[in-house]
Amino acid sequence: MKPSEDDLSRGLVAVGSAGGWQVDLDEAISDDERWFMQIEGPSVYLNFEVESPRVIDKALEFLMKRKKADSESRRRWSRKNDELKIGKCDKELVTLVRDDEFADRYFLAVQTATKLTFRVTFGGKDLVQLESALRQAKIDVDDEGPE
Amino acid sequence: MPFIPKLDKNKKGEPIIVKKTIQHGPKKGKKGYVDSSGKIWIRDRAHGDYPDHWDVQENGGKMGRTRVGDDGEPL
Repeated sequence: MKPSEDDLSRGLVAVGSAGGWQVDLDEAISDDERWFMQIEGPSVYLNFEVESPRVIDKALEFLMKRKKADSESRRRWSRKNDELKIGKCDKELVTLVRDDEFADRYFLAVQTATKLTFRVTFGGKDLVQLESALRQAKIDVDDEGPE
Repeated sequence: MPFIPKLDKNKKGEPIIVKKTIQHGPKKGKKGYVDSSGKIWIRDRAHGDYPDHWDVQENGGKMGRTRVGDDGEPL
């Protein structure tokens, strides 16, 4: 039986911090190949299991996508909602959601199997700081080399 | 009061800073960095008269905490 997260010893793999935001990536110090992420902001703290360190790259790419669209095409921002699942567990869904109203607004959404829902809105300065924190954590992950 | 990390080895045999969960008090559930004497350091943002600092939790938060500034000095 897989040990619960609380039973596992963990060690720090990567960290990034900017303004009021901090991103940590931990790994299980055991034979289990398990990874955990913490995202902390001015009014939020989340800890959840992730599939691999690649989640940091994916999250950054997702958040940066709006800038790419603005500079490449200058077209009207797509009104389609977009989501990125960043948590590993389907029973506790942790998702980044892109707003379809404002290009610089996102939501961090958590939903459990019992439909308990928790959402944090971030944009503007918070978005820039979270991106910066993720970028710093990515440097640590890249320094670690291939998994 | 500088932070001296408690180290373990990851699967590649490289040193890694150990992290633990606070078990007691209002910060229960947060993951912090473990120092060589077993205390857990967690980041606390500026509040009241205190700037951003570290909360150093003793015995998993059971025995209170010490506030340490970014210069390593207790606040």
